[in-house]
Amino acid sequence: MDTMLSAKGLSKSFKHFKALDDLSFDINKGQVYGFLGQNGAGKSTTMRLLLGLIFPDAGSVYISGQLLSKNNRNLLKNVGAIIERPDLYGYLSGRDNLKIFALLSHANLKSTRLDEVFEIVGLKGRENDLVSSYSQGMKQRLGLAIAIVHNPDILILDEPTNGLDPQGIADMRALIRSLNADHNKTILISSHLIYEIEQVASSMLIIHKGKKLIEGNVKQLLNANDTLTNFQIQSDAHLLAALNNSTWAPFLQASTTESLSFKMDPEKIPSLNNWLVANKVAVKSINSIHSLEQYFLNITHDSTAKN
Amino acid sequence: MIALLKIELYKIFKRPRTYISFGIIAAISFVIQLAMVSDGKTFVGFALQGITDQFDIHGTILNGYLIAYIILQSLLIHIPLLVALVAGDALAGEAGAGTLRLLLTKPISRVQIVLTKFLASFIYSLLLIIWLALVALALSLLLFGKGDLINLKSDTVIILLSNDIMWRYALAFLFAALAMTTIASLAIFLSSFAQNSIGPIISTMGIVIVFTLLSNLELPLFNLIKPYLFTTHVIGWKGFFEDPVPYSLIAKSATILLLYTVGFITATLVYFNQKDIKS
Repeated sequence: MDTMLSAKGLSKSFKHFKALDDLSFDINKGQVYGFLGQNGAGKSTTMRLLLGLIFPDAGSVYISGQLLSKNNRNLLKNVGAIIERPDLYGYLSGRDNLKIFALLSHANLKSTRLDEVFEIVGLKGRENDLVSSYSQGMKQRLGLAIAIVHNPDILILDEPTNGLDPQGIADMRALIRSLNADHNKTILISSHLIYEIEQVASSMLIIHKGKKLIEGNVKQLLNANDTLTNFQIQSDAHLLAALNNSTWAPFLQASTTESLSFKMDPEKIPSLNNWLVANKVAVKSINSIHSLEQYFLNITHDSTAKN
Repeated sequence: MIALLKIELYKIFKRPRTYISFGIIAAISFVIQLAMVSDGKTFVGFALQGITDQFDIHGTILNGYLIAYIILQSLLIHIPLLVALVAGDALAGEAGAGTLRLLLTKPISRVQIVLTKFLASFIYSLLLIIWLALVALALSLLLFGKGDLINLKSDTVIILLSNDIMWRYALAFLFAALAMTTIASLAIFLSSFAQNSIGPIISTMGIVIVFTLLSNLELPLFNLIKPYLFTTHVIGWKGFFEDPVPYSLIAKSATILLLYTVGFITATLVYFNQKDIKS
């Protein structure tokens, strides 16, 4: 499979702070690759390195198999990006902004391309307004328009749903899926929310304090069978004995007379709940969380607590 | 590169702040011209007080050439500050607004960005000088007519004949454009370090003011460094209003200004080419 974007042993420090430590990954053609990490984990630093905005202390970036540092200008023709918030020229219209960045991309664009892109990102009708009058969500959409106007094969999107309302988030997700499925774009998308990545990405990497923690296929990593479901109950010791002799025993992770934890597919929750009720257990609440999500939350919580 | 320059100029001239400089030049010129219309004769009488006792002066002393010369004397100290307004914003303004990182994700080299910013600032400086020529010289000639130009220096009086002046103004404006380009390159150099435009604009103004003071102070210590300060040479345009014109001195000043310009731009390229864009 063709590797479109590749990081090999990237390290970067800012003064005494090590922002990135020996990070490597490959993104194949047609993949949507999720880049997950809490704020300050090193996501934006990585994306800046991938675009040549900052220079690595060690390691290399390859785009379409070619070393970025040797052929920066040509390779970036095939890349579109949003880095952090899309800051634009507020004193110019949306159309002027898009036109400027389209020209800078050296693409031979049809005269209708700008209108087509405004249509795609949902800014049709507002393209001639000054960008200073745009909401954060509209700026985000214009940022995406700038990233895709020259029809690049690779998109690097740093938290593209930031600042969007729920409808905007849903639209952005649908757009990212469509860019991948219908236009075969290879997409690197970062987020600090596992749910965001789960919604759009096929593979993902979790980064923490500049280091890779885990990488793999999203479906495998977020296997439904790895979901932990916690039941808050009111019961007695007889229940625990009954449970250990039931078909639910293999899924049981922890048990007390007030709480039960199961590792299983969430689809099984209604059946288990029925079984508990049939065994005269008062179920007070049910709470499910994926083990990877729990792992990610624990990391975040630990760091927050230390800070 | 030309497309990039067009975009740069489009951005500069779409910003209202760009026109402040043109407004200031027009305002100062109009104020001086108005003052000369109402009270010019008294001013000329006062200025020539020392020499009318010894010489009999005839003709239109208060003419367009003299007014333009007075305006240039007052404005060419301030125009560097106006140039800094735009050139100091060139890279730092983009960094502060966050658009620099978007620019650098496009297939343009950093060298191209710096050179385009410099060329755009040069064109802006040139337009300021052309505007100055229009409002200071053309309008003064229209209001006051032509005449011989009396250039009073501390120890000499130079009288330039009416038909021997226009070419001097043309060369003086050309020299001023070079001087302003040097200021622009200094502002761009400072701009490459900053994350917002206030710092480089104020720093450029500060350097110009301090160096101008040093260039004008008659102290032995400063006399040693004066020949190397660009501010000493920024006023080289005045040489064109002497008789004979000190071409070798003017050429020396122009060369020093050119060297400063090349030095500032080279330093900007070296620094900016390896700078991490974190804003």
